[in-house]
Amino acid sequence: MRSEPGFGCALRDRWRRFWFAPDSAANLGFCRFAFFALVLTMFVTRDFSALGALSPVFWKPIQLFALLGLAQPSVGVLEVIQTIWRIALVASCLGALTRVSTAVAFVLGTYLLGLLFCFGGLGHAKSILVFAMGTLALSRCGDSLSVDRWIRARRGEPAPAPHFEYRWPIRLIWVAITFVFFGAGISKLRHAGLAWVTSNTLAYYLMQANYPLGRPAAPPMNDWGLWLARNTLASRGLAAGSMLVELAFPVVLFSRRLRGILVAAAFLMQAGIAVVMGPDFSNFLVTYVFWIPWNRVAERVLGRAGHSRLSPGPVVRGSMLSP
Amino acid sequence: MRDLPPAAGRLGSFDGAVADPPAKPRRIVIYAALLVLVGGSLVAIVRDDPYGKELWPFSAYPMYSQPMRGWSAGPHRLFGVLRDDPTREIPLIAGAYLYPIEHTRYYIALARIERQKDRDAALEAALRDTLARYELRRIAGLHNGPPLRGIRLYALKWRLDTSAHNRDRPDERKLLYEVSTP
Repeated sequence: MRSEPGFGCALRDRWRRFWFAPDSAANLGFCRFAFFALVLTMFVTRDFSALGALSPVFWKPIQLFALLGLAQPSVGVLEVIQTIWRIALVASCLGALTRVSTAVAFVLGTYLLGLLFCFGGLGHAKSILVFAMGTLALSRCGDSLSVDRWIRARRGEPAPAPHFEYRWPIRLIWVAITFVFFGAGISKLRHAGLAWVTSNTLAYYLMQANYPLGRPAAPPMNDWGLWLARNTLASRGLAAGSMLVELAFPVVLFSRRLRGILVAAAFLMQAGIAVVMGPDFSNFLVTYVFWIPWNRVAERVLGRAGHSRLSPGPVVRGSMLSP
Repeated sequence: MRDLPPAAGRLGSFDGAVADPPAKPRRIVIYAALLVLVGGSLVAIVRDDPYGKELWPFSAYPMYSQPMRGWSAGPHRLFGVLRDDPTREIPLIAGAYLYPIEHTRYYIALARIERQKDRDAALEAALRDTLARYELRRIAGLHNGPPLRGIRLYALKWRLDTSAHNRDRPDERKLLYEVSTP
């Protein structure tokens, strides 16, 4: 007689389903394409080599660089590194020699992005890019919608079937994003407690953002923050909403139903903060590509019931609504 | 890495399907990546390093988490002294003026330098470097700022106002350091 599976078995099955249920190669492939295209857009004109000419008085290596014994590089070295990085980003985007190009993009990207923080205070804005590049470097993101796949198809190799290899990378990036929001919520609770909501803390930050000489970040897009700061109910309501979204964000890993709501709320929150307070979240916003089930979007757009052009393998349910 | 099996046709939703877990070597790679991410993030959250001193790329994400301590703001900011009219100053807050260090990080770096034991020597070097880069970039046409003869570091203080009518007029302004071209 078979007994009912216990709680442990159910938990294990749920864990395995979360990470290792088969998923679409096209979905991961499009995420790779979109992510690297956006990263390339952000950094293609950024000249890292100028950092090599800065006075050593600014040089204060972050712990990672100190641990690896990395010294301030020269302008020439940085020019070479950033050129290779840009080539690797292009190749990663197109899916050419994907295993190599994504690994190079990750290693050199981590170096260059980390280097930015060796000449001033640290910031966490670019961390999520490092986690996403590292995850994609470990993944098989070049198996679909890539030059590599095109070459394999020319050799007569069939399109890859849904597989766990196309699922866990996106899930790992979800976990990284979850820590960003949850960490921010915990930090507010730790430093201010509920007073972060019940006091005028957010109103203060909204006002400070409108003082060009006093603000800590880039200028806001308008002065709506002043109106919000004057309206106690609005500013405290926004503070409560922000903290709620941040602290509740881990739910996205467990609840299909709440995932869409929380991800949309987080996106609106970050966009809203950028509009009225000024900080640049563009580095973070590019990672929203990993929440969208591209293979399903493509099916709807193309209006095809069966195989879509973006989904050469079997159709599987995509990211946002999968367990 | 092994080749994956080819597509076998339309199989419908796989939400309920459970694939065999990966083979051990692959599982180790995946779980190691998860362990590094989760472990590093938890350590960062527990350590709770202040903004600007984080365990990069891990962080507790403390931005905007400090509670308000009154309606005042007191940043230290650089002003450029115009070469043609030393009585006039412009604030050095635009990204193009401080390049290649971004505005936020530049002022965090300056605050760190102000706390150093050799504060004056370090400030002298930092401000001279900033002035030299400003002028080099101006001459190269990389920004439209006016020619400068010097740079001054001020401690500013405001009482914030909900209309921000005093945004360009700090209540207090104290000169902390100054460099100028010979």
